[in-house]
Amino acid sequence: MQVEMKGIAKRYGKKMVLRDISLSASGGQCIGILGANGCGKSTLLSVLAGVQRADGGAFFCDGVDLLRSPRHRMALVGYVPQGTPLVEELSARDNLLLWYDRETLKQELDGGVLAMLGIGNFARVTVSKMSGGMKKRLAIGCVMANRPPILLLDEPTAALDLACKQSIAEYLRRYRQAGGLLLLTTHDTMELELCDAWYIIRDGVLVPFSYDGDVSKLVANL
Amino acid sequence: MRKYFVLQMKRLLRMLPPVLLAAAVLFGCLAAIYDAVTRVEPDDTKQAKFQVGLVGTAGDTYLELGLAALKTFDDSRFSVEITTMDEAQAERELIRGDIAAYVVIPEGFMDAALRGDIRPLKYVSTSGAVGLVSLFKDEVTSVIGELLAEAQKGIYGAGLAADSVGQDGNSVINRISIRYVSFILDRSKTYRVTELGISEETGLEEYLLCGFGVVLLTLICLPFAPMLVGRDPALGRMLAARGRSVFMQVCCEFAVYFGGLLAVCLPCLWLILKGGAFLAGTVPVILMVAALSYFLYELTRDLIGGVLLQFCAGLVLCFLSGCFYPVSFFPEAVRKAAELLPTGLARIRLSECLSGAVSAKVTLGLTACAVLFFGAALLLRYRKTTAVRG
Repeated sequence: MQVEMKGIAKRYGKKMVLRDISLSASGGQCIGILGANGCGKSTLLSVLAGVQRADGGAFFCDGVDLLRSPRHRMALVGYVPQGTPLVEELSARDNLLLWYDRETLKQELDGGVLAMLGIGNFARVTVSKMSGGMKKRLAIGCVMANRPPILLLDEPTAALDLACKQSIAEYLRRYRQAGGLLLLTTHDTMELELCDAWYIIRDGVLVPFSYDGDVSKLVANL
Repeated sequence: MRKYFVLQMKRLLRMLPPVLLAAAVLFGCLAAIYDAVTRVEPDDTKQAKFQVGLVGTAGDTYLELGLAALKTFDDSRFSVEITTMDEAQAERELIRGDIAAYVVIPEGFMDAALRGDIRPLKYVSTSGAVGLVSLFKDEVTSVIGELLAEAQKGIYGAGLAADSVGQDGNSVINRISIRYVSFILDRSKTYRVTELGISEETGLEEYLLCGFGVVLLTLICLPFAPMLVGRDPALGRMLAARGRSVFMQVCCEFAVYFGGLLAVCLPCLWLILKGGAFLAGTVPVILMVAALSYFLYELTRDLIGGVLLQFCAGLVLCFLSGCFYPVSFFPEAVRKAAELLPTGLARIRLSECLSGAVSAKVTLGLTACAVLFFGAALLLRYRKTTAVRG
């Protein structure tokens, strides 16, 4: 699977947040998008997911422009935004039923992707009683309903404890190994280590960056 | 979107028991307030009356006869209590607040009335209760002008006519006066239409019933707040990324909320309207109330803010629409605005349902308000969902 972004642009009023976002990637890769707060990381993911309309550019996957083909985009792209995309007063199972049909849900909880995320252990628990890590795993479980080969994650492990970060990172590694393409925005060093390519958004443009574990060098480049 | 609708239904069903409990408590509280406002104990009739002083009647037998009849026989609960006194005493009592106003009948009033010339009465009141005073001014002048002066003129006229054909005029006057006194007993029927100046269809009790009904509907939205306020926009974004548009999301949520509100409100309205003949006419009211509260909840980000906004906005709108006091107490401008306010339309519609004459104009107005609020809520939600900054 070959993915290519070409000149993606997005403006809020007169402010040009994304000017020319271009990159190429292939299945099995994990791309880390970095940048200062408010530089346009979340905006980029929401545009790629189709939540916001791009003001220009294209997002190709094997030659199909996903920005102009919602049907292909919905089949190929999974998007987990920041926050909790769950209904707090319902159980994990009720939330999953929004994305899965009953039969598939049972299979996935028994030995599929949801079992891999450990959701079977808390399927009957109400979301409001879950920890941050459980909620994040559940959110990823929801978006994996149609097994998208491209996963967009907006700061997936923000505000989670180390154990939770590790369990989610472990799942994302497996996703990559299975050929999926991960595109995640992050400020987290553990997530940075998960990536094999890093880009910084500066003045609305993606700038490649080589991360070698030196955080001070990274900060200097933001 | 079927799955999202089912999800919202699950949320509603989970919330329904506390919502029903809260609605029952609210209904009970408002019913108790309504009962306290409208109930008149036998011993309280004196306090319920509008105390008015009457100056300048001393020595006029027929005026005093009419007044005595009024004092003795008028059982109108919200009517006036007239006390004869001199002007100095009337001034003192007005300042002390013992009487709300006094009327001075000019000298020679009855003689002039007999000649067919009604002289203007002098009406004195304090400036503090302009609305209330203006409401009763017509009543007082009609009591004096019509019941006393006009009637006496007729009685005297009949006496003179009897004299002119050789009958005993005094005997005729006495007979007619006794019959006149018995007619006064029927005055309680007239105050429903003219005394309160509320509407041609409803009396004070029915008016307040409709007003309190609108207050109930506005406040009954409060227990639904946890379902509608402070949701993380992340779910909406994830749904939008999967092709479930913001419009469809809002439609699903609103349909479920409206259904829940109908289930809670219709039994209450059935009790208020004393039956179900025109219950269907209240559906546009519930639709408007649902859309208004949905919009107000969409404006806020947290539960406390949402509840406070709904509570305050609801009560202010209800107050301005005359749900607590008859709208005729308010100045003309407020009265006109009240008819255009969504809660004003709701009150009018409940009155219509009570009187059995539902108008298309009010239905249209309520539906237009509902569409407006729904559209505004949709716009806000769209902005929240797509405003991904960072």
